[in-house]
Amino acid sequence: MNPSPVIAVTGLHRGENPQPGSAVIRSLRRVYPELRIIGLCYDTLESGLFCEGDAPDAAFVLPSPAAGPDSFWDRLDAIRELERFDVLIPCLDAEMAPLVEAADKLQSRGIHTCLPRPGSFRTREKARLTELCARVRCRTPQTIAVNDVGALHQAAAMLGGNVFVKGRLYDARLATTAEEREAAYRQMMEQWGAPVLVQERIEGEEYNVLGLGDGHGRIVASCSIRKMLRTSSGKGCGGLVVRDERLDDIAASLIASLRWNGPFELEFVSPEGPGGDYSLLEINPRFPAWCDFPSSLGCNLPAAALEQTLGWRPREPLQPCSPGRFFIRHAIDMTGDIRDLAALTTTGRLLRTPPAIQP
Amino acid sequence: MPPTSSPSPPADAGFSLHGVEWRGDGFGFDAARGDCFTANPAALLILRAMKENRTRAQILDAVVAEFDVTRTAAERDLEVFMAELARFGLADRGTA
Repeated sequence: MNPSPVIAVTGLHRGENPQPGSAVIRSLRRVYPELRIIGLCYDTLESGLFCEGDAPDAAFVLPSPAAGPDSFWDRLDAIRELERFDVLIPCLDAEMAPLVEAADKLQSRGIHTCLPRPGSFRTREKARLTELCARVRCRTPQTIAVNDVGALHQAAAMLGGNVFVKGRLYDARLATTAEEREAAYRQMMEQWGAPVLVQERIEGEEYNVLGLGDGHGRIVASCSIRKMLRTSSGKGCGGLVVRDERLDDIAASLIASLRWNGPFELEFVSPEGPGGDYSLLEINPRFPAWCDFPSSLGCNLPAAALEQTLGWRPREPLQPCSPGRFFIRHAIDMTGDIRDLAALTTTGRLLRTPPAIQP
Repeated sequence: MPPTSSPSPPADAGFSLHGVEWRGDGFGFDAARGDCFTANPAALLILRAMKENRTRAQILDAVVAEFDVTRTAAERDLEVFMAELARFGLADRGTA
């Protein structure tokens, strides 16, 4: 390990459907400004590469996931010849399963991660959520996994016609007509593969809980928000801190049952009005794009995850987030230079800050 | 000399009722659900009276004394307001 560890972060695009990587970098630098952070990107135009303040010290292009696992590991080894990073924080859904299943490969390379165990990871998959929720007595919308168009329509009819069509790993579309369902089904199948999930629609407000599991069944800290200003695709571009013991209890039960290690985001929906029950929509096995918001309130979970990963003593105590604090996403234009783009495109590498020379 | 009774809270002081924190300016926030409300001066007076466990008759007395309204109109408005509060789970069962 480097005397001061080098951290690699993925998921650096913050355009439409923002990815979490830049927020993770910003949070880490709040507590550990001296850290060297490198970005691993799949596209040379990932906006976080060009963001003053949040940009990584260096960036490297990874092969597309379609190139297969061998290409990924070969490229990772080649990158580590140039920048021997010590910690990897994956921030994209598609990366999670292969990395969770590759603990031995990571360990043999000396790469530290804060990932759940494979059993925990698989138990929270969308297709198995009903089983998990039954165990912890948490409501969840009825969900049916389908592999063909006939089953899609049959499932939609069973669930009242007005359903969400969801990708195996990511994305969801509200579909109210047969045409919309089929279009969403084909898109999900093409992008994320089988099965596609058809989920009952429960109308109401969405609540998200971001937290960090210690791997022994406890939540190190968490922040709950009510989504504000949802986009047409249902993504929240604002959130308001709430504190509801019922929500905290459900989160604690789920994480205890999974013995979850690492960051998580629980997504719930609750009908409007008093006493509405929370129904679990999904469990994301990573930091969400809004993870720097709690950090700005003193609940820095990316920093806590790093400390947990490396066995460090916390540099700053985690504070509870005060209800009523909110964030609103604000889009601004990043600027870049064609020379940076050229370096990324031709060499797969962009160096902003040279690495420290080690004795 | 020590005071003989505790002073009344200022009219613009905040208070909590059924999980909602009401500010003196009429803004209410339910920290558990994230719901926000606004109350006009008459509504705020009624909510504050509910907080103080006043009876329905006492609430009506306070409304008629504070605002230019007949008791009959105030009774009707209070009925509507209580129904609205009940819809949001904010009604005081003893008063509604």
